[in-house]
Amino acid sequence: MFNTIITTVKTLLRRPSTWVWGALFPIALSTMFMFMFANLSSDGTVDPVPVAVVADEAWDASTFKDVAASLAKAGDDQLLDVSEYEDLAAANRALKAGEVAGVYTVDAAGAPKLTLLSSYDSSRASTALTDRSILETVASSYTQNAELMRQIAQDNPAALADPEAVARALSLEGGTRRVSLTRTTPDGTTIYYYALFGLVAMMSAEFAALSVVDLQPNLSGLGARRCVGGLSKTASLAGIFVGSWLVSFASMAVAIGYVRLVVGVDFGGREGLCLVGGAASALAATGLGLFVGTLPVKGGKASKSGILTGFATTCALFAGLYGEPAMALADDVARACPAECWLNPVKLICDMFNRLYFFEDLGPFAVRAGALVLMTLVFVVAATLIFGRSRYEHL
Amino acid sequence: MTDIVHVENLVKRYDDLIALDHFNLNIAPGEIFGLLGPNGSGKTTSINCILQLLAYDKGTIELFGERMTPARYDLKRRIGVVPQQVAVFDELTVRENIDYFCSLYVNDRKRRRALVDEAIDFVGLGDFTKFRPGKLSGGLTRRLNIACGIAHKPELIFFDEPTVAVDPQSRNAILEGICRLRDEGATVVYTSHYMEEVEQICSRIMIMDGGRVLAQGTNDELKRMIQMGEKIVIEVGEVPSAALGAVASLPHVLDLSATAGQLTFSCEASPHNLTDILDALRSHDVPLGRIYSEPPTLNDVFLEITGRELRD
Repeated sequence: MFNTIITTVKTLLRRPSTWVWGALFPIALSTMFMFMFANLSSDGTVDPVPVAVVADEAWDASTFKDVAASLAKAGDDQLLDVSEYEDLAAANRALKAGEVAGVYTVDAAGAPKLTLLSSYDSSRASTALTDRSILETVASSYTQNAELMRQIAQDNPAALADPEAVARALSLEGGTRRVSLTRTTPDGTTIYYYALFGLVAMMSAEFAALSVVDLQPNLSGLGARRCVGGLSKTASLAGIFVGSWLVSFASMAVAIGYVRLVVGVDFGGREGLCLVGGAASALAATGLGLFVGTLPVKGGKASKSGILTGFATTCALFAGLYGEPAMALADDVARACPAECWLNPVKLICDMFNRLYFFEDLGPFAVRAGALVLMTLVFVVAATLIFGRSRYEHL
Repeated sequence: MTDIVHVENLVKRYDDLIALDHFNLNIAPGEIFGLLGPNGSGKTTSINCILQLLAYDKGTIELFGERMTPARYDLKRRIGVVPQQVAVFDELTVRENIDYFCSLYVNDRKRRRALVDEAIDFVGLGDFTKFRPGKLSGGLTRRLNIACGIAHKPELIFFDEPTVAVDPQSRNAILEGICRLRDEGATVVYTSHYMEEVEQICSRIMIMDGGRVLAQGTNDELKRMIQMGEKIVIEVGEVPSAALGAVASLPHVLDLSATAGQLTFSCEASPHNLTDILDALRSHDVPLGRIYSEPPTLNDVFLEITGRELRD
C-alpha cells in the first residue's frame, strides 16, 4: 500500500492540472482578492471628518470650540477636520457642495447644534453614515458631559476640586465597560479568503477522483490491470486516498501560506491551527473526490472532473465567495436553511476558519473540523461500497 | 500432476449474448498454451473470468489446484498478466512503472529492486529506465508492458496479444522472451491472431469461437483434424476454363483458387495429388512454372474450423 501512496503522489505531481488547480489557482485567486480588497480593508483608523463651524461670537465664547480644536489636532487620533466660516449661509453652501459632512453652530447658551443634509450620496452610504455618527457623537458627548458637570457643581461642588475624579467622570471608561465580542478586530474581507480556502479544497477533490479512475477496471485498462494484481481493492483504494490527501493538503498549505505571507491576511496567531483546518478540509475534499471518482457515470475522467468543478463552484456561490451579493445570498440561505452550513463543504470550511479567527474558544472550530471528518467518513464508506461492486464488463 | 489451470463448464452471458458457453480448459505446468479464435470468440472474456476481473454465471475455476475467487489474493500473487492494451502510468518512468506493478505482488523493497533490474534486463529496456512511456516507441512500450507483468516472477502468465503493432525484431524478441520464461518454469497462456507465432511457440493450442471450444491439441494434432492434408501451388501461364474445370473436379481437390498466373489447390491427404493435377493441366497444354507443395498451416486449420466469413 505504501508504494501505492508514493505512486499516487508522483503521478499527481507530474500532471500539469495538479499544479494548475493545486497551486496556481489559489495563488491567482488570492492575488485577485488582494487587489480587489486593497481599498476595502481597514486597519481600524478613521479619516478626520470634515466639518464646518460658524465662527461667530457664541462659538468663540463656547468651550465646545476648545473640544473641537482638541479633536482636530493633527495626529494619529485626529477625529475632525474643522473649517471655520463667517456665517451660517457660507457653511451651509459648503455642506450642500459636499465639502463638509456637517455644520456645527453654538447657540447663545453655549450648546452645540449639528446641521446635516436630509439626504446623502448612496454610493458613499457607508462613509457618510460613519461621518454623521462621529459628528453626532462628538456633539452629544459634549452636551452630556456639560450637563454632568452642571449636576456635579449643583450637588457636590467639592468634587470638582479633584481633577482626577472629573477626568474619570468625563472619560468613556468611567461609565462604560469595554467588552470584546471577538478575539481580533473584525475585517470584512477575511471571510472571502476563508471561502476561497473552501473552494480550493473542493477543487482539489479532483486529485482523488482522477486517481481512482485509474484503479477502476470498468473505466481504464490500467485499472483492470491493477485489479488483477495481488493487492486488495481496499488497500489500493486506501493508498489512493492517502496519496491524494497528501497532495490536497499540500495545495491547502500553499493557499494558507500564500494568503498569510504574501497577501498578509492575519490569522490571529493561529497559523498552526489553520493548517489543522486545512488538513481537515483536504480530508473532506479527498473523500468527496473518491466518492465521485467511483460513481458509475459515463464519460470517464472528463465527466467526473466536470461534476466536481460544478459542485465546488456551486458550493462556493452559497458560501458567498463571489462578492457582496453572493455573500448576502449565502447569509439568506443560511438563515432560511441552517443545515446548509453543515452540508455545504465550502461553507463549512469557511465557517471553520471564521470560528478559528474570531472565537477565543476553540470548540466551534473543533466541531466544524469534526463535521468535515465525519463527511469524509461518509464519502469514503460510500466510495468503498461502490468500488467493491464495480466490475469490468466488456467483451 | 495437477493442472495449473482447470476451468469447467464456464458460462458467461451479457444479457442475451452468450460469451462463454460451457467452456472447459486444462493447462498443465510448463506449457505455453495458445488460445486462438476470431474477434469476439471469447478469448479475452475467458481470461478475464479466470482472473476474476469478470463475474461469470456458472462454472468453476481452479488455479494451482485451488478454487479461484475474487478475494484469493494469494493465488493472484502467483499470476502475471500482460494485457492486450498497454496499461502503464504515463506519468511514471520505465523503472517506476515496473516497480509499481511489482509492488502489487512483492512488498520487500530490496527484493523488489533486484526483480525490477532483472525484468529490465529481460526485456532489454536498460537504456530507457528513466524514460516515460510517451517517449518510447511502440515496440519499447510493448516490452515495458511485458516487464510490468512478469517482474514478480509469476508461475502462471497470461499474454493477451502482446505483439500487436510491433515490428518483426521486437516480435521475435518478445517470442524468445516468452520461451525463456517457460524454460525458467513458468506456465504461459498466450492469445494472438498471428497464427505463425502460436505455431512457433505453443505446445498446445485451443481454437474457440462463439464462446465454445472447437478444437484443441498440439499443432500436429490440429492439422490432422482438418480435411485438408496438402496445399499445392502452381505457377501457370494462361489456363483455359476447361482445364480449370478438369482440375477442380479431381477427387481429392477440396478447393481451387485461381489468381493471375497462379493456381492454389487445397487437397485431402493423398499420395497422388500432385501427379493427378499436373497430368490434368498438361492434357490441356497449360504452360507450367514453379510448383510447390506444403502441409497445411495453423492458419489453414483456423480458417477451416472457424470459417472464412468476416467477423467484427
